[in-house]
Order: sequence, then C-alpha cells, then structure tokens
Amino acid sequence: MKVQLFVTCLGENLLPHMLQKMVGILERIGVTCEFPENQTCCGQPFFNSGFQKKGREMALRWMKAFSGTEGHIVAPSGSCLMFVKHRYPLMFPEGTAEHQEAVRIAGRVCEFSQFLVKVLKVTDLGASFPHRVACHSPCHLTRGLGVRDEQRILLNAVRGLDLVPLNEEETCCGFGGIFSVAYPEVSMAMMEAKLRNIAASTAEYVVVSEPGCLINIRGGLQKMNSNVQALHLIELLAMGGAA
Amino acid sequence: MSKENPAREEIFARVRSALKPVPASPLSPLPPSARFAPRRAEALEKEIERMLREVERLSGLTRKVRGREEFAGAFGKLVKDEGVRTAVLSDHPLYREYGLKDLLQGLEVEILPPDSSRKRIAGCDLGITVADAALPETGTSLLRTTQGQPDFMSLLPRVHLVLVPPEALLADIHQAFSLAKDDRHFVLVSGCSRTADIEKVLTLGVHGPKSFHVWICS
Amino acid sequence: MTGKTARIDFRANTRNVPPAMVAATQKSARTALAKRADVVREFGEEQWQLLRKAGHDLRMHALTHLDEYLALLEEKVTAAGGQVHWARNAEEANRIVLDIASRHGVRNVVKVKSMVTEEIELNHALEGRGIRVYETDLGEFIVQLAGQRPSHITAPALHMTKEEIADLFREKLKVKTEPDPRQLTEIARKLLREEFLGADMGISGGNFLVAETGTLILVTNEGNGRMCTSLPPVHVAIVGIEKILPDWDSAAVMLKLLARSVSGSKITAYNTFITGVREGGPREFHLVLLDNGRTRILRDETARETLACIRCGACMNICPVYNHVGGHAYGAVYPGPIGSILTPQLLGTQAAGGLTFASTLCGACSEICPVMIPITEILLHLRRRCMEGDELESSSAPAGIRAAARALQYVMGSPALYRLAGRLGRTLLAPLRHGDWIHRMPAPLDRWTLSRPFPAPQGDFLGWWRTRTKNTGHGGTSHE
Repeated sequence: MKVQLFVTCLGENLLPHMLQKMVGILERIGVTCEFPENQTCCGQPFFNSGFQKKGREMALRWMKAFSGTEGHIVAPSGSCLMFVKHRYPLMFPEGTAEHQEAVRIAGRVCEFSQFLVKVLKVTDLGASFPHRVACHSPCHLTRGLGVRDEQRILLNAVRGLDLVPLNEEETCCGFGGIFSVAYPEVSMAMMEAKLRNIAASTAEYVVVSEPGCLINIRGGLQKMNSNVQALHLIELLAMGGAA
Repeated sequence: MSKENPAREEIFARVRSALKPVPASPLSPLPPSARFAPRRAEALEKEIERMLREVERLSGLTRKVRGREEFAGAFGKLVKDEGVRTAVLSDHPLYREYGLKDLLQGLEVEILPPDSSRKRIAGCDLGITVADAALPETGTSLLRTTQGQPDFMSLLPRVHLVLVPPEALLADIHQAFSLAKDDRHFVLVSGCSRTADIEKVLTLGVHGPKSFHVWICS
Repeated sequence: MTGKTARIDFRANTRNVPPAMVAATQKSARTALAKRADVVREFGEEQWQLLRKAGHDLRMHALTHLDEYLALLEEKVTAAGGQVHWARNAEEANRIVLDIASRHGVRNVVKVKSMVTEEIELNHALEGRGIRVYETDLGEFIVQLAGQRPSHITAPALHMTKEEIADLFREKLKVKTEPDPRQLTEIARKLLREEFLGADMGISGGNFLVAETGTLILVTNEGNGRMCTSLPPVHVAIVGIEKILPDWDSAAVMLKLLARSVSGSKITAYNTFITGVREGGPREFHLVLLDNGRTRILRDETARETLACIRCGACMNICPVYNHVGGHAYGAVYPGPIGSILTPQLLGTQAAGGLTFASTLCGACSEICPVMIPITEILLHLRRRCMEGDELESSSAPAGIRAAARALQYVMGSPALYRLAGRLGRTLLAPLRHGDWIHRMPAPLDRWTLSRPFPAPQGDFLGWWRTRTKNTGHGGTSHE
C-alpha cells in the first residue's frame, strides 16, 4: 500500500523528527510513503484568522501539490486534517471543478491513528512502553473529527503501558493557533490549567497527538521544569520499538 | 398606533428584505424535524409516585390523602407545623368535599376572601389552591388564573398548599399547554421559590412562598 | 446599542481580572455543568440530541418567517387587550417606556432581570427622569446596589462573596447582618416585598413570545417575575424581535431545553404565561418589540443563527476562555461565546472585532448549545468580516496585519521561499537557542514566549527525505 505524507507546516518546521518516526512506523508495517514536496501549508492559519481568500488560494495550491498522486493522504494532526476534510469542500461552490477536486481530496485524507486502526486494521505495533501515561484529547481530533477510540486502542496494545485518567482531558489546552499570540495571558492560563491536571494525573508521559497542542504543552512542561514528558503518539510508539 | 407606524413599517421592511429569498406564505408549516414527541404516561400509581418524588427533589413537601378523615388529620398537622393563623383559599368544589372551611374554622384560622387586598394576602400565612393539571415528569402544577383563583394567591402567602386530584395528572407539558393556552394568564409552579445567586448556596423562599406542599387527594 | 462605539480591548480586560472572579466563575460553571450532565443522562443522550435538533429547527423556522410571526403576534396581543409598540433602536425603546411612565405618573418601578433592558440601558433612562428602579432578582438587586455590571447572564452576582454582599447591605441598606446567604436573602425579600406592593409599574423582559396566541413567557425561580407582572397596575415588557416561537408545541420544546441547559434543573420554579390583559391583573399590558441591530443580523444567512439563542448560559459555563477571565472581560452585556458573536454584530467589528478572536475554536460551545448554534462557524465568518470585510461591513484590520498576512502568504505559498525561510529560521534563531528551546523569540512570537519557551527549529525533514530516497530508494517524491 502507498500513502502520501501530509506533514503540516508546524510538523515540518518544528517537529521534523516526529515526522521521521511516522515514516519509520509506516514503512515497518509495509506501507510505502511518498512526500509531495510542494505541499507547504494547507492554509488553515490564514483562513482561521479571517483571511479566507488567502486560505482558499493556499488550498488550491495544496490540492495541486497532491493532484498527481494516489492513495491515502496521512497526517499526524487532527486540526490540519479537519481543515482539508471539512473546510476545503465548503470553500468552493458546488458544481465547480475546484469543488469536485476538494471532495475527492477530502475523501483521501486520514489521520495517523485512524489510518492504522480503521484502514490498515493494525492495532498492535509490537511496541513496549512500561510507564504511566496520560492522554490529552486535542479539540479538533476528538470533538471535531470524532477520533477518540483509535488512540486508546493503539495505546492499549502497548506492552506495560499504564494508561491513567486525565482530569478535564477534553478541555482545550489554550493553543488555538493565532489565539496563543492574540491573547497570550489567557492562553497561558489555559495551558497552566492543563499542566495542573497533567501533574495531578501522576503520569510520567502525556500523549499529545496534535502538533500545535504538543509544542504548547511541551513548552509549558519545560517552563515548569517538569519531569513529565509530552509525546506525540507517534513518538511514543517509536520509543517503544515500533519504528 | 399612528405614532408608532413609521417604526413598525421600518422594522417589517427590514425583516422582509433580510429574508428576501424566502417567499412569504401564510403561516408556513414547521418542518417535521422541528417537532419532538411528547412523553408517554406510565401506570397511574407510578405517575403519582413520580410526581411526589419530583416535588420533593424541588424542596417541596408531599402527601397522599384518601378521604375526609385523612385529609382532616393531615391538614391539622400542617396548620400546627407551619403556625398558620390566616389562610386564603380559592373557590373550588374539592374544598367542599373535604369540608375545608369548617376545618379552618375549627382550627381557629382566619379565612381571607380571595378578593382581599394584596397587602392583606401578602401578610397571610397559607394560600390553598387546586391544580388544574399536574406534570409528574417535573413535579409541576398548572394553576390557571381565574377570578376565583387569582395568581397572587399562590404567590404572596408564606406557605402554599396545592391539592392535586389524581385525574389532573398529565403525561407531558404539551397537554398542559393544550388545556391552558387560550387563557389570559396561567402559571406552572414547580417547587419552592428559590435562588442560588449568593455563592451558589441554595436558599428557599426568596420572593414567593417559603414552604410548598403538594397533596394528591383521592 | 446606545451609539457608543468605544473599542473593546479584550486583551487589556483579561489582564485585570480579580482571582476571586475567576474562582467564583469556575465554581459556578462546574456545578451547573455537573447537574446538567445528570439531567441530560436522565433524559437520554439520544433523545436530548433529537430535542436539540427540534429546538434548532423551530427557532430557525421562526426566524426565517419572522415577518409572518411578528404580524400574528401583534394581532393576538392586541385582540387580548395588550398594546404593541415597535422600537427600531435603544433610544426609541427608552422613549416609549418613558412615555408610558409619564402618562401614568410613574414614580417607582420594579423590574425583572432582563438582558435586553441592559442592552438599551433602560434603568439609566428611567433614573434620568427621576424614576426609581428596583431590580428584583436577588443577583441583579445586589449588583445594582453595588453599582456593578452582572458577570454572567443567569447568575449576575456570582463574582461576589457573601462577605462582600453583607458589607454592601450594611453600608447601603443600613442593616445589621451576618454574611449568611439566608439572612441576606431575607433582608432582600422584606425590602422588595414593600416595593412590589407599592410600585407604579412593573417592567420585564421576556424569555419567549408565542405567536399563536400572543403570549409572553417568563421563566424564573424566585417569584419576582410573577410579582412584577401581577401586582403593579401597569406592566411593560421589552422583548427582542427574535424571541418569537411559532406555537405552543415549540414552547414545550424550549422549556424542556432551557432549565436543563441553564443549571441542570428540569424546570424552573415558576413559568408565567401572560396574554394581554386579565381580570385582577395589571390594567395595562405593553409589549415593546425591539430591533436594535437584530434585523441586520437576520440579513446574514451564515450568522443569522446567532438570533436563535435562548440565553441559557451553557456556552459560557463550558468555555475555557470564559472560565479563566469571567464575564466583565467581554466588555458588553453578553459575555462568553454567545457574546463573542453577538456583540460584534450589534456594535460592529470596529468596536468589538477583537471578541471574535477570543476563542481557540475548541468547539465545546457549539456542542453544548441547546439550539445548536454553530458558534465556531459564526466566529470564523465574523473573523473574515474583521480582516477582509464583507457585504455588511468593510475590513477593520490594521494595515500592518494585512501587510503581514500578504507577506506570509507570499512566503508560504512558494515552496522555494518556504524552504528558504525554514533554513533562514534555523540559522538566524540558532544564537537564541538554549538546548532545544528559545526563551525569547523576536516579535510577534515574543507573545508566545511570554507564556512558554518556543521549540528551537532543528532538523530538516526535506533534506532527510531526499537523502534517504537517494540512498535507500525508499520513498518517492512528487514535484508539481
């Protein structure tokens, strides 16, 4: 099976090692990866900041980058994925060629854990991670896309992993894209509330499977000099020997 | 009305131009998805239990009374417990069945007529009403406002007693509305006057009655 | 509103929030949400979703046929002996109420809590004419006495402690009291009873208007709603034109949704249904129907659903932003998520556009809204109005922001420039690195590092990819 990598602009620029591990995991289970180099950014930062025209232009360019390709388009992000899946078709009037293209591409995009569990029907990657782990629920992944079970299923198969409950796990961590720089004080307060809940969970690791949330929470833990480490699910699986 | 005409005309014009694409037709029907099926009633005994339970959840006090003797006993106890010296009651056949006026006289409770001044009724200890309908799902009593049963009778006195005949129980609020919708005024009363406005501490009897009793009377 | 267009500076407001306000907000929200979850579970999750859909669809039906229902309502209220007035804006509404008051020689008024009367600043207009106004909801009575604005739409005084309230009563009412909620409530009860019995006029808002019979519905817990609308000789109700329901079946749906969504009760203590004039009630009933910007919202098909709001407050209870800043930070009558879409539409984006960015778009509000208002969708729509402008308003974005967006698009839209920027970023930021972190980023990302360090950009995914492709033959690349 062949997939196209949807690396996301945050991923490519700030979490390139996580992307490498994603490739490693996929190849180990027999998936061939391709990388359409011209994808850059899907346009969400523009669209969500009110620059919808710019967001549409970026979308057209993004779709063009994937147009000559086949197979699922896999992303380590619920937020960027949701933007392509739900927003792209809404951006263009029905009946137009752009709309058709958007609908086609919306059908191809898939989030990483969704791809493993729902498409490949793979739940056990042979990983082992004997630690206490909490799991944050990123807003767009869970509330937006309804991807809740897939992460749990993958974590449950990891040997030795002790999944501990996280209080207010579905409450937003305060990233919110432009929000983090528009209203930094509130963003910080929300982040600190999330960090307090993480500390209270007694977890050694917290799974944060969303690039934006990940750099937010990871930075917060660093600021607190916390012993807790934030990991993308991909990084945890890789650490546990899956890649 | 002539002074308000320009404002009225302008508001209607604005509304119509805002809804341009939608053709005006006399009272377009609501789509089926805008409807919600009413609750279905269970067996009468269960409905009665439910009603009483829900009223208690709302800090009301409840009782079932069967027959004149039981009523007299219960009523005497209420008057004693609540320190009732004055009462106002509407005009209802149910009171005659239980000989309520005689009971009150026997207990030396002064009866105020329903057309007493508001100030007098505000100082009254007990207001007695009969529910026109009751909704077990929420412990609600429907009180239709009439000359014989003005709404402040259930509002101003310190204690409010509602008598509910079992036939008055309805399955759903839809039915209560079917009954009362053409009235000029009615109230749905569900429990005691309450607030949690100060630090979320529940306090009963803010402006309305401090104590609320519901009796199912068969 | 009343023509004031001072810009609401949300960021500045959020920097002045007393910790007690935050704590009180969170305590209140948690309680309400927990109780709501219980009653929704009891109702049945599936049934609740069907009920929400019915609530949404009937509200939208009413709004998309608003002229029909307004006409029917007016006919029915008038036939029942009531008088209907139309107010295009706040000034007009206040003038109408003052006229009625002057015709009846009104000296004192008792009032039921009403958001719309705060929107038009009715109390201010009445007091300007020497008319005394008593807010009678306990929370509103308290904030009125304190000279403050309510901080939540259904729990106005939640930001005040019982000690503060006791001090307030001692000072303003000259009474002796302990900081005990029951004692404080008793003081208010006695005082306000006198006012109810002696008032010349009662003023209320309205939770709903049933067009079918011209009925005003008031949903309360304390009993003051009934007092204000039964005891004084004149009753004036001011209601936004959007509060209309087609019929009584719709009213049943709304009442099933409302109390559960507000605080997790199945129903409030009192629901009052008033149609025109009645024997033994006020001699006159006046219904003032208010536009004040609502017809402008109606024009916009995407944002029109804002008007479906039934003022339950569930969205703010669940909003993490609101829970960290409290109601006053939103700088207007309506706080929280509904405030962030309603206020910019009522006041314009020049004044209130910043509120549309006071959200992480987490979606919790849209999920909890009993009438399924797509709040996040409307936020995105209004952000566009702020930045690009639309049919209703031109852009209010500062030139600097627009230029920055253009520059950013130029770079990110070109793979070559995008990669160059990435390489430059890694190089230029290297001196700022402490290990994997940068503790102070240059503007505008200095705002990020106010709160937490920024991950130092390291590694080159494209370089890694191209190298391994060349070496191992694994993976391919598509160029367009």
